[in-house]
Amino acid sequence: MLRLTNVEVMFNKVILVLRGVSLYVPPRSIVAILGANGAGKTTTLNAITGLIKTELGEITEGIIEFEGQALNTWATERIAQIGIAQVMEGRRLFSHLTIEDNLRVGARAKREKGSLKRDLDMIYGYFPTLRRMRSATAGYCSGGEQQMASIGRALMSDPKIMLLDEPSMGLSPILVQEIFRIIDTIHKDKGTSILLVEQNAPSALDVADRGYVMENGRIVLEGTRDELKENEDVKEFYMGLSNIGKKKSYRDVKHYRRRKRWL
Amino acid sequence: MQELLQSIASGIVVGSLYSLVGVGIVVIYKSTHVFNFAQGGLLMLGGYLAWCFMEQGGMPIWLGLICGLGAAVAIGGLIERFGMRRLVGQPILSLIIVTLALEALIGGSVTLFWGDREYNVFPEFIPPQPVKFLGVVLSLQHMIIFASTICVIILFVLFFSYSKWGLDMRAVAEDHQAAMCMGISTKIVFMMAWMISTVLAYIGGVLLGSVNGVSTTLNHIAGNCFPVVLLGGLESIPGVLIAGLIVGVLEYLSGQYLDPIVGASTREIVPYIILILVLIIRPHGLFGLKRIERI
Repeated sequence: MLRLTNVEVMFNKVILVLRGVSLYVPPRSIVAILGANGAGKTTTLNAITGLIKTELGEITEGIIEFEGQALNTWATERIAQIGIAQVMEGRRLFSHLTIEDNLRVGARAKREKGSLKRDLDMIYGYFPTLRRMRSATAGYCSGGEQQMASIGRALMSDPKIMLLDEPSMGLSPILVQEIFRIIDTIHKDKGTSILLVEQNAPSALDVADRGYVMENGRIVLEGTRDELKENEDVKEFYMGLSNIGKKKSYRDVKHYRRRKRWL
Repeated sequence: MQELLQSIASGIVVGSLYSLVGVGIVVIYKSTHVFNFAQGGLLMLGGYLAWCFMEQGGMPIWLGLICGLGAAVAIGGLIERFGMRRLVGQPILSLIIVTLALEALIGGSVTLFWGDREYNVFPEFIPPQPVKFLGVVLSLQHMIIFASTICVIILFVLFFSYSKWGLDMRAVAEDHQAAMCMGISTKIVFMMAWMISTVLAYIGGVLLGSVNGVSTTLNHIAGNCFPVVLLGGLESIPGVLIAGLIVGVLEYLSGQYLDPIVGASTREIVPYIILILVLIIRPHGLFGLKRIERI
């Protein structure tokens, strides 16, 4: 469905941020990209939706394909209209608009124009909180409500694939669970593919079918959910699960880089 | 009492013209966050265009007005396409400076093409017939200015609140990238904003020209529109209407009552004094959007 082949992204014509990223999102699947800050996860998403062009970035190498079409040179709005919806990092709601107006804007990229009211009802079905807050100014809503509205807004366009950028950012563990439960429900109900970028590896790997681990603009590891969950390095660096119950020493932490098996 | 009513009525009429020009500035600011300093120049150009088609081109009045309108739309589009779009992504300040350059460019071109003759009189299409109302005398032209301003403003409030284009423009104003992700073309929105704005300037130029004729000093009205726009809060169309009326009325009142005391013309400075006072108390203007910050 969505395939990236050896994608290189350069900013300002000098800073190479992605160094050959290849990944594949099959139809009706959830794929997670894990990685630390600055690994290039958000840039990968922005490369797909063309947003890097607004940030003086360009794809210098490789192909981004969606259903057989190369998207490299497409404008962001056109990419949105063929069914790729991005939920940007930090929610990015239109803060002076009401929640419902935000959702209405989301419907602008819909391919088949249908009943707006039915779409709104669908969103309110997934996120009952939003129905209560429908006429509230988005900027004054809580982080959880904003995240829900942001996902709802992307869902309004009835996308074929949703790119979620750190939906867990700044939310309490309970809310994170709630958001991931809803993401999973949406995926199962509508068959929407999801490309999920997360730092919160345990939550992401609970819903994802496959995962990629990024570091320094490269994919360093990939596998199915279970493979990644069992991988010693993922456990150590992303789940904090190794040596449970044992005493940890700073000396081990210091050796962290050397001990990574994929480098 | 008679003087008071007359001052208020004249103030309202003049103020509504400020609002009309101000709405043009607000429309651009709302969607692109650029403060358009060229609005006065565009207004002057609009007046000249209409005059050029009607008087120099010898067209019938209605045709001249329509041609002028078409030219105004085209100019708005051209400014966006060749002036603003190239600077998308640059700091907002450079775009604002471009509008300043545009103002100078328009002023220069108008003098170049049409000379700086003091007054070029419009063919009379609104009879300058006085209308008496409650003992207040206003010309029919002024009544039409007032009525068209109110119509335009109601139209725009409805446009921004209910139409999908209006929603697009509000979304783009908030966050360009997020709006693009929703499938909204920022280019189309920007172009639309500029076209709307030049059309408003054109309407203002025609109305003002029909009263005084067109001259190269027509853009001076913008000097009073800037405080109006800031007072209204930069992003609010009803705000601009109310601010325009406030400034207009206070201008005339001070002209009537303050001038004899001071012994000089206070009209020019009153808008700015009000502006300073309001901005001290409400930095985002009377009806501006507060910045929403999460702590």
